[in-house]
Amino acid sequence: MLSVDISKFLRADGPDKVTGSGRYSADISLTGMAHAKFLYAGVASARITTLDTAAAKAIPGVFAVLTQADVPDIRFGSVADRYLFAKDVVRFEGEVVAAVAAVDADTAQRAVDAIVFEYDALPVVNDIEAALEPDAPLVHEDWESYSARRIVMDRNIASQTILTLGDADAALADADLVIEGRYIADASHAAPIEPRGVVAQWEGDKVTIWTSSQVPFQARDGVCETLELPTNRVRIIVPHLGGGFGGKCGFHYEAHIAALARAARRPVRLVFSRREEFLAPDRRREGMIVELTTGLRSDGTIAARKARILLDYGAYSSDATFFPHMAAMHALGPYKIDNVYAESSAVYTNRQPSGSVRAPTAPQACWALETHTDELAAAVGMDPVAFRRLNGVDTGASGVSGQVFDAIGLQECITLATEDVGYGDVLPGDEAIGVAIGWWPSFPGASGAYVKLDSDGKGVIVTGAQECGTGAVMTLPYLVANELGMQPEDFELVYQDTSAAPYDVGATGSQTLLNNGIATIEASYQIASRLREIAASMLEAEADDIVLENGHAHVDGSPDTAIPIARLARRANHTGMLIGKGARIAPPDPKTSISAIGDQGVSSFAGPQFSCHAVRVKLDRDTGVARVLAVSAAHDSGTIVNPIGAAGQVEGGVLMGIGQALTERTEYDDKGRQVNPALLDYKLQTFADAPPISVQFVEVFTPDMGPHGAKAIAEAPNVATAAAISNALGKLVGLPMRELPMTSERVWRAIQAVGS
Amino acid sequence: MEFVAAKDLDEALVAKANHPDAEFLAGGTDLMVEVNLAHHRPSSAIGLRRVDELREMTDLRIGAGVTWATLESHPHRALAQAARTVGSPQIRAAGTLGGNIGTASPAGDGLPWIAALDGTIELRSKDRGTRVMPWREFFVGVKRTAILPDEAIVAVRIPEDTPARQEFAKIGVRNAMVISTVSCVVTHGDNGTTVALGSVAPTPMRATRAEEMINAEKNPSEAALAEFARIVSEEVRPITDHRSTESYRRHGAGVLARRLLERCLS
Repeated sequence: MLSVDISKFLRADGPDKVTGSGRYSADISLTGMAHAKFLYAGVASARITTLDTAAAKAIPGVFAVLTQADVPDIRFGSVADRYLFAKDVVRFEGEVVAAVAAVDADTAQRAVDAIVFEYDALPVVNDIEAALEPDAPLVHEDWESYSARRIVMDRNIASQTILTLGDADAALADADLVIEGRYIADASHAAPIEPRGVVAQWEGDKVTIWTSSQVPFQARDGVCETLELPTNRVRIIVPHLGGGFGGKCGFHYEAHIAALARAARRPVRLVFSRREEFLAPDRRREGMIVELTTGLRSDGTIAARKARILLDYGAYSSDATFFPHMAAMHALGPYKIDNVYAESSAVYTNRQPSGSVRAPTAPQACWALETHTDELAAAVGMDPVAFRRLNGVDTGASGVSGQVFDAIGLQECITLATEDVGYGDVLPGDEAIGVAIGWWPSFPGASGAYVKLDSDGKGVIVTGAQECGTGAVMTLPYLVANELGMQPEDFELVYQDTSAAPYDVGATGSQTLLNNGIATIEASYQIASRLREIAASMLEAEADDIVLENGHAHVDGSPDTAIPIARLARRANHTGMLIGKGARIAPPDPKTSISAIGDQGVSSFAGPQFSCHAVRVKLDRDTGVARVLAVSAAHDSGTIVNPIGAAGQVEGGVLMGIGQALTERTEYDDKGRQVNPALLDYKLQTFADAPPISVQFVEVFTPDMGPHGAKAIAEAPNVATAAAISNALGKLVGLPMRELPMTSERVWRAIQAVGS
Repeated sequence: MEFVAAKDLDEALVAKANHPDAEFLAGGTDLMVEVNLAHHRPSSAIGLRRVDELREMTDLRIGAGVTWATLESHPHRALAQAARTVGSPQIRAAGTLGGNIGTASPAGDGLPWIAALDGTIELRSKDRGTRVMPWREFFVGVKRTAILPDEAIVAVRIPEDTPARQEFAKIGVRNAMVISTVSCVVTHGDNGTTVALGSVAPTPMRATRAEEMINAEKNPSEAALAEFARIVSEEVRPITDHRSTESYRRHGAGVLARRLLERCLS
């Protein structure tokens, strides 16, 4: 599709990362730099009685100790429900109470230990169902004063969405069969490999902040809001980022460190330990309870579905106000159903706040729905794949929100994944194949880029986009080179610097290449157009007849008389330079007919992506130990612009999904504290666990979405894997799985339950 | 923190006699985790990496400084199997059998093998020389041993008449870098069957009642194997913690012991 050979995609940041020459936030060291440490609450719910920093400040080598009293009295967050530092009360164990800057990390830690922090314990809201009881203690006593705007709040309900299409109750009453199920998913973590670092340095009244952020512009906005600074005094630079998976979306500690650096009158660096990375950021994948009721007709079609969803929101709003709406869409699913009702609530608890982790809410809700779907198929005596073919959406069909889909490839995904995995083959008695389907929107939005060519014909792409490891930004030179008849190596990338580049929302919502690719191509059109004009004047031809190819310009049909682009670029300096700019303008959302109370804007799935994951699982019935033997993943993400990058996203998403399915689980004690905030006891998948993963794409050209007909890709592969594994285990055990993750011990208990 | 990189065993023992509070640092795969999690901040440490004597190895005596990477190809099958399940390649390249013994975690992957073969721990001090202690006396509790403050673990010794068959297996929540939920070694030879287990008691343990029961059977029937597994499950003394529950560990111990016995008998 591209004339540039992207089948040999080489990441420009690859050598840096592989050889260790790349610089991450924690590698930055500035003259006179001090080191930061935080005092955390350490308790999930308490009223502060004493917070005395005098002894800490008196320690030699301590430059600054800050609490909320030292920064502007400003609440922030989606509903403005938190401060930079705890004020009066603490609401989760990882809440920052105070911050220290000192000559070295050990001194800073001694100062933290010297802060007098006393409190009266308050009741802990540690259970999302108990939190809804009328007499439950409130996580936020003053919730009514928050700036909820279009968000429905009520006591411990932090955000609620109610979706209604048709008449679900009437349709359930008329249904031939009604199946109910309740599914419980534990909280989990993004667990990026790089614990975050933040470095802040003031020069005069301007601050530069290097930070491990997926969303530098949001980080800048957070600093501006909480420290009352205009954007032209705050510059955010992200060095190489060591993974994010959503865990580094949002605004976290940039303002704390900027405030510390100002108070300490020197640069300050914060580097998190793994433990802090687990406990403190307002980013964790939320626990969830999903209750589903589905009415079936005797022909196997779905007449109606009701969903009740509770999400463990944690103590503060983070970016998660849209979670109830998104979870409801995934609990209803990519099916043709005319009557739906969903009541979905995010519930405040005294736990770490939940926030966007790769495809937020989708893996858990899809796991619940798709486990339920196998139960539905069994209830009507249908093969579960045939059931999905019958009820799954297709081109021209209307989905659960009344959105009518343009050309989509879900049905073909089902065909490809099931054929590839060998669905229907005779298997050994301890093996089974599970299948699940999933969906996820693309998020078209504002995004900008510049491209310039210098006088030697080499170029620079200056982009607001953030590279979080997916290779999305690294793909931009291929898109530009393709437009200009040049090579990707001809371009340097300047990225992750809010003062250099125009706005982009950041590496969030799988939107980097989707939006910035459009902006960058638009910028390169302008350069291509200038190059054609210059070449046309030299070749005495019309600009429209000039072809840019192999680093040269020639008149169409006369390739022998070609001018090197470097020569055109030299000439351009005398005739107006080669500077292009591009900005993506988002198309309007597809129409829906669903009613949404507490509408968070996700009833409509722009550029909807679809997937089918089929997994072959082997189960040791004596121990409950499951092994995923093979995964076949088929995806409709529109045109695939970068096949290597896209396949990498699917492989990574699947492996993350296997972890969610089998091992990844954040546990809490009865006081709301994490029991396993360490990689020793929070088990990610390793290479030894990774099965062969076969990736196939159904390339449905999708207009007005990403470059060349692409949709997004990065989050969608993380949606359906856990669900497919659940269905394989359900077959092997003889009972549907009801708890996520499906640990060996839980599976063994299910086997015991069947046996008894 | 004070650090001495000992050149040889004598120097290490002198340093330990002078600083009984010092920690020995071999691979560091346990000690540094404790330090990094701020569970433990030793005042001084004695490095053992340069002490060649600790890396000496024969079939019946394994130096404390022998790494898991080396043990992966040890002629004792169950020890080699256990070695292959330890951590990651990096951890196996650094971690040592002596470290496993010194840490004395209930989940130590090398410990059931020592128990199954009735191994002894060779200790040495500057002033009193060598003493050899049976494993049962050495391991006294969770991460507690009978070592004296001036002693170093020098080697593990095993008796000469080693059993013809030996098998190791463990249950963990994933396939690498995992702490055992249950681990087990079964041996079988002219002197009968032994069964040793890890992660199911404060120390590595032998399932002696199960051994007696199965040793009374000439050709164990299906019912005898089931009974054997049941007794193992009954004999172990696991706890419920955040990694697993008592009931699952009991059950897993029986499953592993029976499977390994069947492998030994096949």
